[in-house]
Amino acid sequence: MVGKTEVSDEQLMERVRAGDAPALEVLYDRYVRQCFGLALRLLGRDIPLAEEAVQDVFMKIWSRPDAYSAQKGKFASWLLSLVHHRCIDELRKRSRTEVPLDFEESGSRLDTEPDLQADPGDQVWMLEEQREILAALNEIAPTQREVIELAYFRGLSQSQIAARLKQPLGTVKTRVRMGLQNLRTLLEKRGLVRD
Amino acid sequence: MGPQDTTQSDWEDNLLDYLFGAMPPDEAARFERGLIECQEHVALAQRYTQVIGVLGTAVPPAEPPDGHKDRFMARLAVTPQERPASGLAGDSTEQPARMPGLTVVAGPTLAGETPQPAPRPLPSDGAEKPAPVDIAAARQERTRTSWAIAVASVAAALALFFGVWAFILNSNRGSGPIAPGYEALVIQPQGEYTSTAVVLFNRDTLDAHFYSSNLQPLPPDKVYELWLLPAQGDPVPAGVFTGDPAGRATHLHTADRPLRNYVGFAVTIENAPGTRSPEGPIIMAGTFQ
Repeated sequence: MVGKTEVSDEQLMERVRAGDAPALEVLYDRYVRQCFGLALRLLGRDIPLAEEAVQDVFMKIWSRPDAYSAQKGKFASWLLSLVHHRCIDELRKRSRTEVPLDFEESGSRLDTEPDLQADPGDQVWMLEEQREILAALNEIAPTQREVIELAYFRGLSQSQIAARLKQPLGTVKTRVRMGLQNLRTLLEKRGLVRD
Repeated sequence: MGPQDTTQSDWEDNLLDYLFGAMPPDEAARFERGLIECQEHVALAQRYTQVIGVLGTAVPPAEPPDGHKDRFMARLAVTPQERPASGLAGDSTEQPARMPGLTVVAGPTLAGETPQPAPRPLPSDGAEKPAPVDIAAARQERTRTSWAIAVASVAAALALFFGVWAFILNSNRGSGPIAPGYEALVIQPQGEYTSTAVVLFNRDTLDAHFYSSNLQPLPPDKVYELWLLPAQGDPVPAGVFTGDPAGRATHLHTADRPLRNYVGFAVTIENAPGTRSPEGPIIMAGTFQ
């Protein structure tokens, strides 16, 4: 198996574009836990549904590998955005925009915990990245972070967020936009996104 | 609604709903059509997409359930690549996936070479691969054994195919005809038995991915055993398995030599923990040569 340090994601995607299924397998092995963790959170701990969502995303990448280009940023971020959208679509389809209570009560949705199954090298890399992202999130205003999390993890529109928080729609829109802009600036400083 | 219909601020608000997936699909489709007309808007969308994508990285990873890799590889084996397509934020606006074109074969297998919009007819479209073994000799040999009787009784049971496929692919979304090099062989029930299975394999490799459904519960001292059928000689044991409470089982067997050296698969019920030569009843069988 090819490790992360041997072949970059972008190189693997080049091979996937050429029809190299083992290259996709390497990407699957590399990111399935991250994708599954996200899907699990978004889908209220529904394991079969989360697995289906993740597999659908990887199959979509296989079927349409040209959908990704380096201009879209890091492969991992792009991949997770696919998982996110697939899960939000699933929630909408099933009219299950409300996640179970235990998830609601689990505190911050972005707390990190060790993934004992991951390759130690990958684990260090992922934990470091998570730490940086959390640090960036903690630097933006709590009100901005709150609306971003509601939009991201619940798939709520800005109107729905405004209704839930009992805040003017304009306020919510400003918080979302400013929050993302501030977050981007912070992530750029940390080298986690690029122009 | 597109950029030309709103102020920049309104448009950017809509963009965020679109990127977060909060926009209903039909509205998102309209928005995307307007969005892709302007390079500046595309660039802005990509900037936001990068940030939103990073949010997912902050979620702790989790270990998927057992067998996830096998299920993924099975889907991968039967899914061809399609034409390139564009999409900014994960294609949340994509129309519902079309029904996949599946190539599932009973008896001789067909290797799909090009994507098909709908299921192809079952056998005999002329796409069989040349048999690498002496088929006549193989048939002659098999007719002398009960294996041949079982194998010869393979019948096309279309409803069973789709039942098995539903099990393999769960939702079927995104799947299509068999990828070049891979074949899906339907293993048919024999006699009074009703179990079915599909084996996904590539003749040039060693691995056979076996997916079975409608398995009857077995007593604790019995197991299902998979067999590789050589053109000549005795069946080769290919591992044992039991069904889950829903009567399903997955099994990955790595053969000792490329699968083109065999002509089919069969399943028997044997005493646990399995045997080196079949003794129990044959419940499923199928050939691909």
